[in-house]
Amino acid sequence: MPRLNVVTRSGQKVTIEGQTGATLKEALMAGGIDEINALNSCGGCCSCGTCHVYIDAADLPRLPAVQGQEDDLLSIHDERKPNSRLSCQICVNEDLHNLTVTVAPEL
Amino acid sequence: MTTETSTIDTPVAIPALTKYQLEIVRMLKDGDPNDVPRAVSYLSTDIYSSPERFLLERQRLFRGRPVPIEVSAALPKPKMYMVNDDYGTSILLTRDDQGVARAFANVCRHRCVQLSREKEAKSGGLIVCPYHAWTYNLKGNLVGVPREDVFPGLDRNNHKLVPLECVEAGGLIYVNPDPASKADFTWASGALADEFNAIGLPLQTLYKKSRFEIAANWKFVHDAFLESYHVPRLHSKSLAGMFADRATACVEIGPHILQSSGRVGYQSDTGSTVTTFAQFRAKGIFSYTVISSAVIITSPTYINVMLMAPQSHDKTVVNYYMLVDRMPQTEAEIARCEKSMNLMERVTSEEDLWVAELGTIGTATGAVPQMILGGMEQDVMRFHRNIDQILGVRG
Repeated sequence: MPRLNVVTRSGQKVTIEGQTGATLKEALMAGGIDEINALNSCGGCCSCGTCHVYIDAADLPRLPAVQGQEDDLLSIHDERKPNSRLSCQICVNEDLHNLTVTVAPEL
Repeated sequence: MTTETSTIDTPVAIPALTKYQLEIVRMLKDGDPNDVPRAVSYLSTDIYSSPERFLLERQRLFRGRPVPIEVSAALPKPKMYMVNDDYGTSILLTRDDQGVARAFANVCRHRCVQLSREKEAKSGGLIVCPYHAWTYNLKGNLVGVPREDVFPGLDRNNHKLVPLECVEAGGLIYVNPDPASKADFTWASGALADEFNAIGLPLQTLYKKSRFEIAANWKFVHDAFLESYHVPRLHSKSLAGMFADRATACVEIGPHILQSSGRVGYQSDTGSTVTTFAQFRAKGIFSYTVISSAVIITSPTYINVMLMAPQSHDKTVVNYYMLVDRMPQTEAEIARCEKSMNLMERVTSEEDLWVAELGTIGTATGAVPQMILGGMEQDVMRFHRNIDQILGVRG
């Protein structure tokens, strides 16, 4: 299982194991990063924007580009950066081993 | 003007005093305090105690008219939003990414549940319904629907948040809380905005907001700020030393009222030299009564705003604001601000709002069908006459 390096909202660094085939949001939740799962989450279908994360710039090329609804939602986000992603739209696989991801501020 | 949304450009500099402000400043005198109007009027006390009267007021004063429900400074930046539940309906106020203030019924178009519960300004461009996570932007557009495939043919444009008429002008955000009616915002965006621009209200920063839930009729709160007769008496241990025991000057701006008093030591010739608020504010006060329902009072270093939200004939929410030119920086500035805020908050809540509660208890007895108002209290009568005119009733 790929290892994921997580920085929480409070700055705490945590390493978790990501289940291949899960979404990054699901992997974060399974790894105990509960803050990614907002009270008003859409459940991971790219319609609420609450699972916003920042991907380490060096890791960005390993991900498919942002598109469609994910881009629309991120464009409304106050805290959007060039490395912003919605974690429900990223599929965990072995290529993402050692990915570093930071949980963005609460919506 | 009956547009759903609009903005008034915030002035970069404070304009000169308006014709009404110049007129009233020139009315202020330093002569004999005994030179006051001699007059007596009577006011029916059931206008405070009658639940039926309250229903009429809510329908004709707080629906279908511009109601100032927030100060601009409470939503200081683009991409902020907040909820106001004080006016008998849940209102979502937003400031979009272009800075335009907007108001909506705070209800999700999906299953009609209350959308946001943020009572204080919150940054962020998206509002997500807690029930099924339907998501809206700050222009009210539906931008996210989970599992949208289970709503075949869903037209997002037909499921935007329900807009309420909203105009931001002169540092206040006015809303018509009734989505089914059209309000006339002429005074709000015209003469009143000119008044408040000239005291720099749109440029103010929110120092503190307090919320009071009082057992009083909302008009009693206004009454306490419409006459100075009570100042040396009710405020004998607080503000009495700051003002001479004399009549206030008054001009009417449509149905709204501007009063002014000179501080102790005011010189009559001040009026002939003053042309800006900066020159006047240390010498006297402007006090505005906006129907319905706001009181705005200037002080040398801050401006107080009170927004009255009636809940019933005998209950009112008062949102009380202290606005400053800029946030205090040094310890001395912070201490001065705190001292002023504490004094004004205490005087307002423990003296003016308290006496409004006493009046509500008194009128509820029915023992005194008509109250009597003397020469220094005739502006109270103006206020009630103007209200009666809007209500279409005879005082």
